[in-house]
Amino acid sequence: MQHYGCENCGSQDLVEASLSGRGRLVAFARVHMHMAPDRPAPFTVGSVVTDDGAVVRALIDPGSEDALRPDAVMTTRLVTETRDGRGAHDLRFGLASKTEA
Amino acid sequence: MSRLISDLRPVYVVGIGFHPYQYASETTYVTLGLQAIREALADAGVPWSAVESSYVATALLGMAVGRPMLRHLGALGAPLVHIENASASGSTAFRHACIEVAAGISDVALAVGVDKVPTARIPRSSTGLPNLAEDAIVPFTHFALLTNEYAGKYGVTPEDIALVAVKNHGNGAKNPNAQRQKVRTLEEILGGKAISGTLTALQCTPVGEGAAAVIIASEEGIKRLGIDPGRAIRVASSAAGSEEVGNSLNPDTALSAKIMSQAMAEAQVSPKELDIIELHDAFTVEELLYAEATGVCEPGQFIPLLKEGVFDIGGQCAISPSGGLIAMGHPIGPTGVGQVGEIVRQLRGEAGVRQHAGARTGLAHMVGVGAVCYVHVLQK
Repeated sequence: MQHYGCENCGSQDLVEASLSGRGRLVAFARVHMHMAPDRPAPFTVGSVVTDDGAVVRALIDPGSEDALRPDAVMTTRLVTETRDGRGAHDLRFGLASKTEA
Repeated sequence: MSRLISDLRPVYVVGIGFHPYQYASETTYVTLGLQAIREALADAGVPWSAVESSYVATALLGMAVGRPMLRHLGALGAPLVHIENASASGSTAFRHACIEVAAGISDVALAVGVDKVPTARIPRSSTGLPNLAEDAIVPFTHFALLTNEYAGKYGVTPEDIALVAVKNHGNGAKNPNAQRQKVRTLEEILGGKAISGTLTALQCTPVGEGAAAVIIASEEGIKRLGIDPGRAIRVASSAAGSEEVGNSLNPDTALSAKIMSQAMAEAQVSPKELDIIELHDAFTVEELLYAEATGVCEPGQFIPLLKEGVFDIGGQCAISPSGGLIAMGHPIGPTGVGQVGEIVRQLRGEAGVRQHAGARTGLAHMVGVGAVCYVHVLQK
């Protein structure tokens, strides 16, 4: 959460809000080459428009990579964080299960 | 009341110069920059002492590198400023040099871009805001995502998009200042090293070094210094802006469309009148997005027209005749200045084997991380 100021109006009177964690896939890309040593390639990233209307870019859960398609329903999930100093979990998007979709 | 450059006194590019863009070498930035400046001065036919103000664009060299370079032309005490604006650094330096001359503060100014590949990564300071994928989405992956989105939206294939690289490598092969000077087949481009998504190495701008310089003059300067007015190219407009809230998916294209429109309106030209376009094609999909943003074709129509040769040298509008960022290269500070140099060469009719016949109007476009956008229209 940022408290610097609103991108729309500059107001510093900000209210925290939760996003739904559910949205639709706009685009995805399998990254074949990446320089950061703690994020070894290959991995997949995606752009998701959440049901709240926010655009979020995130890593895609490896279990979903093979079935990705535009407009697929995506949901968030916590995975084990492998990088140092980032806490225990990382938030990723993956294909929604049949019950979530 | 705010004013446009075209409301002020006319400004012309009267000299252009380059140090060829190239892969990282032991050549000092001073050598790179001086070659470009001396070539631009010789092209204009003016001595260094005639330059009343200098704008030095660099993004990767560190603080205050201009004077240690310019002093070797004669340290005559003229004003000097450094400009860093990411990929648009050179375009920004050009705009501000034009503003100074248009405003009547100087009659002759220099805009020079110079950069070398840094020996160590120069990180941007953290904003302190967390991001789900901050360490995963570098520029080529951002554009790999836009490639995937464009391909899905308009039903084009990775092979179609790679045709941009075939064209631009072909143009770069005719440009002695280009970093990549080799004709490439579609098979070579698609079969190269996979980078991100469907982007391969030959569809991405190379990292390199180089320099580009232009001399800008007023009509008074041209007369006083005896510069050949027949080779002076008018800066018809200059427009600039930064990203607005509300377009998180593809801010560069939305911003580019707005600033290109402003620049063409100021110059009183329509997209169909553009003979030459040099744009920020760091990755193949960018040429599609930004060409469509100019209005030379409708969204989704770039690929069919590209296949017809509409955007080739000799076609309706030559896009990236220099080879663009993909083949000419993108050493950062020089890039925007080099685009202006290419357009001036084309409008003068001095582009040799890559001359687009009858070119009268050209548009130069750069975006920079941020995002910022700079667009200039030049006319014969």
